[in-house]
Amino acid sequence: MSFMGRPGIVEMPTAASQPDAQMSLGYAQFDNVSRTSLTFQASDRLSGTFRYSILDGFDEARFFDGTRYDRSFDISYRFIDEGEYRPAFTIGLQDFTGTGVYSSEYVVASKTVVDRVRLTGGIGWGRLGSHDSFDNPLGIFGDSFKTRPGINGEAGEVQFDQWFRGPAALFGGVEWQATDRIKLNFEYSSDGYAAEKDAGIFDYSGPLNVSAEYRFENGIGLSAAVLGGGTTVSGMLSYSFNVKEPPGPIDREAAPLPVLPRQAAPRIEGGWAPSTASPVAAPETLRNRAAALLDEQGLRLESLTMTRSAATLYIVNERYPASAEAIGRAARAMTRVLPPEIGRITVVTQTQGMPVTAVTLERSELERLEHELDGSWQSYASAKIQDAKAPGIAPRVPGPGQYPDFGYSFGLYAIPLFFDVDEPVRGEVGLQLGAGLEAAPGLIFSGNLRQKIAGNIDDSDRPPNSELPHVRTDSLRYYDETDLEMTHLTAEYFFRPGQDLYGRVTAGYLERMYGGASGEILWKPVDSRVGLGLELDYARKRDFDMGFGFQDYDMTLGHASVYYDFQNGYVGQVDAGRYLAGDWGATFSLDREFDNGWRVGAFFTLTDVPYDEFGEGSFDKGIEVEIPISWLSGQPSKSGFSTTLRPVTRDGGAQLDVRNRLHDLVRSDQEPKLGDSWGRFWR
Amino acid sequence: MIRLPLLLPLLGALLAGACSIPDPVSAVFGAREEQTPSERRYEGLAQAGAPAVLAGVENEEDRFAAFLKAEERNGIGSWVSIDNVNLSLRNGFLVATRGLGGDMMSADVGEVQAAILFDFPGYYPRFQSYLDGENQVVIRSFVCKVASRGAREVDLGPFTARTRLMEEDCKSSDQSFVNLYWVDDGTGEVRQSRQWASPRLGPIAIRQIPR
Repeated sequence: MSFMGRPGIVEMPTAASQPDAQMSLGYAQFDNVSRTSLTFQASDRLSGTFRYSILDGFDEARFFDGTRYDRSFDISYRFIDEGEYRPAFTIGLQDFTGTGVYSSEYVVASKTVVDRVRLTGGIGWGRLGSHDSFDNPLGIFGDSFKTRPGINGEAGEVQFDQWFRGPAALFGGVEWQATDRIKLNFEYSSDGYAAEKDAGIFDYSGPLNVSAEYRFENGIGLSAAVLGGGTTVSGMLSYSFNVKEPPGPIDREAAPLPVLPRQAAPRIEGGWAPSTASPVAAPETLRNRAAALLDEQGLRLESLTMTRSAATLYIVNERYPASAEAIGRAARAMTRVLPPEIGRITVVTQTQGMPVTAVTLERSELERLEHELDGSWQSYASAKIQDAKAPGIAPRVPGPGQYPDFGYSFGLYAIPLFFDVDEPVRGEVGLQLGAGLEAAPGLIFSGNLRQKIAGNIDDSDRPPNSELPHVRTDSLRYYDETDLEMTHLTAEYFFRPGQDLYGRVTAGYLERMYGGASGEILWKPVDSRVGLGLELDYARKRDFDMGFGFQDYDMTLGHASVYYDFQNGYVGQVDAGRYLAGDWGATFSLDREFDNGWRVGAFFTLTDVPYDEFGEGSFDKGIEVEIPISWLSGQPSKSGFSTTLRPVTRDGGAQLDVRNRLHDLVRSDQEPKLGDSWGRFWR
Repeated sequence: MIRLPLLLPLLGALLAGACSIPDPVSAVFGAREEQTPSERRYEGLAQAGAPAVLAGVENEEDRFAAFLKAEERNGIGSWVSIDNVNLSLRNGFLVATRGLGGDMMSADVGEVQAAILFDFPGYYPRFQSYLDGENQVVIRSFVCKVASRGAREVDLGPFTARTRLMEEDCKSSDQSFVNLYWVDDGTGEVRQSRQWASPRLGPIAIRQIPR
């Protein structure tokens, strides 16, 4: 881990990659500079870094207190693997969207020459071409490569016209893995620290940097370095882990109920012989026993109907992140209550009152496969997976007294906001009261109140300076003006207009900053990688005190969406339409999803707002990280912690933050996610 | 007395625990107000005198419990603990765990089981599956060398069993483990064993509790 928070020597990059899905957090400090970084190996070859740097005194003349708070993204791609004689090659862009302090490009080669010793050499442009530079060799392709244009337009714009332009310089170094724990690094740096020298915040006397790294078994690393030719001592703390490997106890959930063989199953007196061929509600005693067994598994039984030989149950799963596990547990529990005449069990999953997916299992297969070595795959192969609205699926018959269903929750909440423009970490904690009433299947009234206890989110005193309507830049005022917040108060209706179709209507106080109404339709067949959505919203800006009042800004907006699951762990989404400030454009996002619930993604939005009108950052972009609670605790839970890191929040390309968008609700019950988690069917 | 050829710390703790608690099953129950359904089932089994084993995760010192046989289907017994962990045993051979973390999902022990119970030394295949950190089922195959280590006595409390200690030394391309079975000379039951479950879980120690 280099002091730039990514795979590297001391400050310079190497061509080596971390293992796939490795995530590293780093904090480095020297002189007046600190860097906090997050690096993620997004694929075997592709790596991304988010870096938050504080350069104390860098902007003496320009900003606020003279301190530069810089948020930058790096991206690097290893395009040639290391061979017996051939080095690995990586091309990288450093700080390609940020404010430009670190912006540079490089191509680097690394080769392990003897055991534990790796040599690296590379060429850099921009900041990495600032010491002992020479004319750009790419100048042969045209004179435009010979000079690096200044940053034009707004900082934060992707500087395509700068890339690989201007003087270049060479860098290189050697890494020696002295022991399993200790690594020693030495490099010749092509970074002249010109800007820091000018600002007088870095004492630079030469290009040589050395560092020593100690890595503990638990992934924590400590490094010390001497930078700038012997003038500056630096320290770094890092933590590295792989999202594929849960750190703590995994999977401590209680055992499921074993399958009971059919001949031992409880009989209904006189045999089960309904007079009609169509499904009828199960006898009440049987239904109650089934509900009790499902309740034990954390599942709710909503409807149980039977024909002469088949049973259909509608369940609500609020516990298991893997739907296959909920289905497997429900089916096993049912073998213990259904009479022997029943040979086929259909489990229908539901979300927000909408039936989503119907999985039909042969009872004999459950008995046969429970202890099979390959029982997981075989049960998947023999399960029939259909849309819950497909013809032939028995309809839902809710039992008496199920509606209205009231629930509430009371507890603590915490909001962390990372890497704000002038505060690395802001946060707020307080008490939260939520309540919901499901009046009929899919018709839900709910609200949430928060009372702040402590926090520093409202300390910000930066007034919005946007030329656009202030649709997001004044979001901190909502924290500032009140400690009692109504974060939402809505009526929602979820429904299935037909097979493959899902619908939602939401009205009320939709989110912290907006109220109004929102309608959405989603087309997503159960076995399709593709989903299509359409959303139409009317939003009116709420008063800063987060009560019932409104301001006089309103907007009609909406978007059409395409969702695509590439099925190799990547999920893409494009939303095109109108945004909160009335601007038109599209949002592109790509997520890497793991079957244990982790999600790491990046997005950007381009709209018809010109870059200079948008302000700092030029367009909206960021990364999202979602960490499932179950990964940390080992206990089943559908909740997780997610955060969005943006270099800067502006008013262009801002979306309405409506709860319960349909695609997120239904996809975990559908293919390909359902099948991807089928390993948990027998868990 | 028991003489252990390998000093297994947990098995030691298990045996000590078994000696000091004459009836580990009834000792567990105090006067609790509300029982979960699994606790009620467990108590019912205990009162009905269901067969019991003491089992523990060898790598975690305090993780052991008494398991009661709840039911049997196709020769595979389902054994439950009071906190709802489940072990599936076929003639004393572990074929699945649920609720221990990093669980063994399934195992095919057909050939090694016959070789060990009937003392046929030699090489046999074993297949085992577990869930990895991404919830994918990983199926591994092993080649296991079965051999006898000779006669051993196992003190089970009320009586001492004469057993033959069988060793099963298993290897795959990158994993290896040694399972041990104390097979009763008279009844052919596995009185005591140590069986590897999964990479995360490691070995499980199991011992009969005569009742």
